[in-house]
Amino acid sequence: MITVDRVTALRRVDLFSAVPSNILAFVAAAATELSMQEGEILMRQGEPGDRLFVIVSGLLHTSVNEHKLAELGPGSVVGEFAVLVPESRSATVTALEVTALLCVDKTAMDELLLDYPAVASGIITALVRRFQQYNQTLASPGSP
Amino acid sequence: MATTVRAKKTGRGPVPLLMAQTFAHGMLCAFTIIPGAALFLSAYDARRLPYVYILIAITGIFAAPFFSRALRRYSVASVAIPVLSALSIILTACWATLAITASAWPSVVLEVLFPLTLQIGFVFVGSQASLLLTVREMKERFPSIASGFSLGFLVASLTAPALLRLLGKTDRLLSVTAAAALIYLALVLVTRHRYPGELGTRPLPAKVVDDPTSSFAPRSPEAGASATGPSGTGPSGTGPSTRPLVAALLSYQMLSAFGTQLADYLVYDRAAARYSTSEDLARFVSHFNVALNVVELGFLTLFAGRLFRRFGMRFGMLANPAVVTVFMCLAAASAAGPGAASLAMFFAVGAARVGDITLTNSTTRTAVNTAYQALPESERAAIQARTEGIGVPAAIGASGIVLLAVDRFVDGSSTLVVVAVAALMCMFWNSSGFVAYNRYRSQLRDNLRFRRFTLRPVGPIDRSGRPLLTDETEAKATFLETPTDDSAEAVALASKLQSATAEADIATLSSLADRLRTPEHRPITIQALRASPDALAVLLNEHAKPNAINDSALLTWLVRCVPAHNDETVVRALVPLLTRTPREAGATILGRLNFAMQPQHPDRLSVAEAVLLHDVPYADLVVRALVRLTQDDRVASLRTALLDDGYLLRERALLASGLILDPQTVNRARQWLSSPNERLAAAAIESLEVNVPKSIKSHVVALVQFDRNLDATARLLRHLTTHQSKPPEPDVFRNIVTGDSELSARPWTVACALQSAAAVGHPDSHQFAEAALARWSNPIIVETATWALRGH
Repeated sequence: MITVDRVTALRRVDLFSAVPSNILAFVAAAATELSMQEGEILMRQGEPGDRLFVIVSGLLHTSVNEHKLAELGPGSVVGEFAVLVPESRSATVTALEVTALLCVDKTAMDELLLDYPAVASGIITALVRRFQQYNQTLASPGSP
Repeated sequence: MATTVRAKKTGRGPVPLLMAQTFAHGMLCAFTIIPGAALFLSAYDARRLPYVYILIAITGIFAAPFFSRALRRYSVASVAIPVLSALSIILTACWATLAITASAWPSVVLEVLFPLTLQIGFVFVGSQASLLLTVREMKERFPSIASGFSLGFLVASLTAPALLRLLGKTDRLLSVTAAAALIYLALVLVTRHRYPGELGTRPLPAKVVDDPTSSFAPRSPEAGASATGPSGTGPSGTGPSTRPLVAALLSYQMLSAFGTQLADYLVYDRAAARYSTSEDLARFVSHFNVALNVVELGFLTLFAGRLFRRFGMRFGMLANPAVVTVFMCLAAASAAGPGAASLAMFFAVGAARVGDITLTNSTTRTAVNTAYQALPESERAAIQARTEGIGVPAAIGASGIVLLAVDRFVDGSSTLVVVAVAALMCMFWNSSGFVAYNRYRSQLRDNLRFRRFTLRPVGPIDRSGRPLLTDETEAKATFLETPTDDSAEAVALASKLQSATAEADIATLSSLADRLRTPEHRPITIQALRASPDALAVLLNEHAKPNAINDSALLTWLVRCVPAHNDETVVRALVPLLTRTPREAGATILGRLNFAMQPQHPDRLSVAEAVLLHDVPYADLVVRALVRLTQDDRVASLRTALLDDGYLLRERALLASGLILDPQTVNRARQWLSSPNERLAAAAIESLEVNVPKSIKSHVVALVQFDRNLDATARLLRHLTTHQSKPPEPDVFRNIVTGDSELSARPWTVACALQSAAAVGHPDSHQFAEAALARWSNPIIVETATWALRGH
């Protein structure tokens, strides 16, 4: 993938949707491409992790304690919190089909956050939205 | 796609239906006044008109509270339906009475009904329009909606003589009047059926309404706890007081009604002196109305929209009183010179009336209805109904009392006195126009300043919701991150800086600046630079034209070293950078200037003007390119790059506005512009337009509204840049890759254009790639061009 395509893929991700694309080009340049075959495991629950993965194509599924949690397709992101604050992986992620990913590590993200406040602001906006949605889910009738 | 510009509403929406309503309303009013005036004047003489005016006042003042209460409790359509039904019954009864008894008193009923129907009809249409259109759409489209009234009045006036011949007697025209009322009623029903969500529901009380443009309605339970009524709400409550605006509009409309009524009286008074029979008078009234409406329609078609766009609300409020004042002064001069019975006098009062009606329907109604948009939605229709329902009839009644007094106490030259009084009232009307306009501006500004804000989820497509590059909070955070202790290293650096500045040792300064690149040195370097404003100023100038984005980041860090206080040396160094640095860094500088320049700084406007004049030609290029791009996903990268530039320009325009307006107002405007809610965004644009100085008004509007309406923005930008831009290359890819505009100087945009051209299979994509390789060494462009040449 060329950088422009990578940026387009990253912009689909909620976390980066508010970051101007010319600045996102530096994230894209620092990202590495990853390809997975069906059944291959991307990460295991409990393992330490400090990388973020963006699904470019294909399908992953997440499971916690062997209970299936969700299926993730293109534009989804895995490990968005770990890239900010390294932690143990909270779920196991497996490829359901041939999947292409972009991987961003903590060092690249840290440098970017220091040099470009806009990236941090974009990420904060995305996280706030996510928390709002989460709170709404909790507040909606029928939620546990 | 996340970067989709908000689509312009397709189709014409509710405008044709509202226009059809005003057309029926125009027919109804014309077919009320033509037989009404003719029958009344032939039976009672114009000298009895003042009694009618007093009767109008009594009826209006009696009916308005009921009407207002009904509009507060029920939807507009629910009120309009029984009112229009009752009206058609009354008109039919008048016709029957005239036909059966041959008595003239029903003509009094018609004379009273005419101004009330006129007001009520416009309250109905205005209220529906305010629920269906945003404040910006109101300004743009209400003249078209109001033109339906003129057209209806014109058609009725043109057909009245023929109908009179066909029907034989004046009173039989009332059958057509009743039919017009029923048509109006049917159109209200159709509109409600078409827009049940907006028009069919009862207005919610202010305590619970989630009104985006409301100046005071709380949006959260905790805000609701302190909510009070619309008029009494003030800064200590949940929002600004609406009293000043309501009072200003009330006095404006009362003076307008007073002036209009006197002009109206003078026309009929002079006409009654010239024509004696009811048929002659009916012909005069219809011919006069034809002339009046032809002028009005011509003005509406040719000038109203352009003048309104050019001069805005100020023109809407002031044009009408100014024109009527001029003609009233001419009439006074004619009455004093050639005499009250002279043709000059007749023409002058006729022209005053024509000018009044023309401007009332084309500009004043638009301005007044737009001004009511600044009031809370839940109260808007009721306040407007109360203001117009009581104020206007009261003014008409007052004009009746004045006319009676003149008739009783002035002998011989009563017409001259009436004209003089009318001219005097028109002058007061002018002043009230100024006041109303200023109150409208203040109300919009206060709505932004005082409005409580509750976080709510923003949809995932809300691209414009991206955060600021810099703002006050961020600046404060940066300021606080600097260690407060005077570390030995910082003190040593500061003294080294001061000596380097004294010796103009750029190398030492630059090596210090380089420390900003390493996180561990940043706090000390920032502290040291803050201690040495001269060194900071020199460094800012040194890094004013960064070539690479990393240098741009360094400049951004340098700008963050600018202390919060208004250091003249640093501010002086910052101002020229605004047009010399890349726009991203310039936005950071603008944010810092918002923070650093004192409110009374004399250069604030000139700085804002410089930024906006610098940005508008680039915005023109960006918007022209966006207009030419299709919604094809294959050009998503280029569209996103252009939209990002647009959002950057919008942010810079807001920051430039922040130099003139208070930060709270601009922050609120920023929030509203980022909202997916069209009404909020329109209110923010309107507020900025009326509150920034005239010299930058159009520039600010063009830059902040770009994602709401690309076509309108393109037109506005073209108008602002006609003298400086050459026609662009129609092929957007060629224009960016091989052109010589600023758009072609942005490496990221060029890379995206190369990628998009190749993705859509542009026949010249190879040629573009070769040209880019010859011109650029930027790694992303080289990578993209090579990819394009390889055939992906």
